[in-house]
Amino acid sequence: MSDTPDVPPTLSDAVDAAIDRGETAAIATIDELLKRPGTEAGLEILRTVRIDAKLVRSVRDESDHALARRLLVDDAVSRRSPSKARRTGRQRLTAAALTASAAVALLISVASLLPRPAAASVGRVVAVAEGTVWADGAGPLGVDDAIDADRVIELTEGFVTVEVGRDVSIDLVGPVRARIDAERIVRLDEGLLAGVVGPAGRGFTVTTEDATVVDLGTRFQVHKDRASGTQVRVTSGRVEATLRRDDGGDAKVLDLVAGESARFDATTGLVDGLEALFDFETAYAPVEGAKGDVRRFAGAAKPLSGPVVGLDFRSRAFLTRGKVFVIPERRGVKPDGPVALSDGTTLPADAAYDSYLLHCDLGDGFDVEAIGEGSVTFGGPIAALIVTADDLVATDAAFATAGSRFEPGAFRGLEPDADVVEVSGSGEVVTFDLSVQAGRSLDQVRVLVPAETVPF
Amino acid sequence: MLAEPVPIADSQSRRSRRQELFLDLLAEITADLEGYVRSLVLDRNDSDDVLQEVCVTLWGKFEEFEFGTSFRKWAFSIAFHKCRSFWRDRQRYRGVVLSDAALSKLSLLHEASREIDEIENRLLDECLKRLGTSDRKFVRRIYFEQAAVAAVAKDEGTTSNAVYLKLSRLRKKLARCLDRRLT
Repeated sequence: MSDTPDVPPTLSDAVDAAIDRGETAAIATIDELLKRPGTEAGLEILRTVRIDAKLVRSVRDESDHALARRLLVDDAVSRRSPSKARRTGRQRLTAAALTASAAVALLISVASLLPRPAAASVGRVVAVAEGTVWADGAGPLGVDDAIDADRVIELTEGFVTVEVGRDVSIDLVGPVRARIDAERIVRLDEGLLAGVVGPAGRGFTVTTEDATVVDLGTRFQVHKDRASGTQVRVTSGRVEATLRRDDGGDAKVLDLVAGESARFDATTGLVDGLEALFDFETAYAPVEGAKGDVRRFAGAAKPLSGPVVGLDFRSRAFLTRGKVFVIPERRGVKPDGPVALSDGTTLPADAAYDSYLLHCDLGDGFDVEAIGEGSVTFGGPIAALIVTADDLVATDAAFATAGSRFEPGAFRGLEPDADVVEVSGSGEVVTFDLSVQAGRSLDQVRVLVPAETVPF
Repeated sequence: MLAEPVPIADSQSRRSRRQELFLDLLAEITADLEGYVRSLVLDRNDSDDVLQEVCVTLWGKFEEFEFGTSFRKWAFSIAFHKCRSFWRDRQRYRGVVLSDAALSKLSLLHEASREIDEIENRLLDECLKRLGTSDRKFVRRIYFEQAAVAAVAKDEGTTSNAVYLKLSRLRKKLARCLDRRLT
């Protein structure tokens, strides 16, 4: 702890930031301190981690959910071995891990037989596209809303992005009906689901009537409809997809890697590794076009729901009604030459960028209005924030989407005395607090992120 | 000469016995192994995943374990390599890593402080009993329900930074309680 005089004062903060948030800078600090002679830093880290682990165990042990979890694992173990009487709960947990994919499938089937504890949060909403229409009786969800176990999400239009566990993000694209069973387990009844899963999210599982799809660290899409069954497409990484049998069991496992597709139909027993019938690319393109590589839209920030091309961003042409739309522009652009910005920074010409425009326009009929606070989390560190009208105009040609039209006036950018925009977190988050004034109803910010950011 | 075919029932029985043996050996070191992985991975969610991978690998390689040698040493060696792989993956995906030197030092210190760990563990139980209801509720939301920090902040009418600060203060409170009991 920082109370210990021999320990550098930054260590305590760094350990907190590393174990709570996995912050890059904190881990670099810890690494640096551990390389120095002496043991104080290492012992301090271990002590904080031990205390944190103890806290985790204490709440785990007293939890009703822990009981449910143990019951699940008990069943898994009892099927694997006849003698379980002597085992501790810890052993049971370990036994369930013995064969990962089999255990996942088993846990899913057992889970449906057990009484569930009171609804617990298993995920949260990180994006809701403009114009999304909710069909489920539970009503619409907003960004940051928690998702309880067994929550059904049904959309007729638009899309939502939901985190269902660490490093697991899914887009549900309307029309769609899915149920969030638990962390990292989603049941897709109908429609299109796209998953982006990082290393910590491996094992994320999508079930449908026809198939069980277990992610092994990847980007993939699953489409379910009654006519053609379940189709799976992998765009990077690998998944294990298994045809479900009528008796609820699994059979016919396929390992699918990037570029491969397969179709599953439980009623006919069909497994077809040929090209998918469903046009994933066309169906998912609007979502990709609307989100780009943004991971999270909070507060007033919002994605559009469809393709973003040739929009009119001139004053009063694209009103935003108190929201700040985050609009992907061109991707992988290398400027013709170095771009000098009015804050004194220069963007090198040899780097490639993905560009995003934050746009809000309240139109007429007010004196001063606060649009509100929000934040946008990108998939990589932000290279530049372009906030003045001059800089926006100077960078339109290089980064704006073809056909876009912009206000030539001097009030496109932010007003230093009224608007706050800054980069926070580990350099991947833009937070903003904007307001506009009569006659200057337009606020825009261009955000440049290095291209080819590795997902997660 | 061809080996005598092994009846399926015998084969299954042997597998079951082997599994029992594995579980018994693992049970003796699981808490320690969990702490070790956590110490090298740091992040509480990631360490659960790494621990699971370690268990799967231990079972997969159990045929290679030489009876008569230390199961703990064998398991910890595999766990160390899994933690190293985890950080290499992190470096690839997020450009951040705990170097081999840093991991080795943490590993050595973990081993050297095992006895202290056992004592502190018992004392922490007493300290935890002294936490107030609101603190326990807060801990439960963050650690077990894994509620988004932003959501907790919203519910408590505060900021995410304030929530992280509260977590940090809570750990420091326990550390001070531990210090008092150790002295």
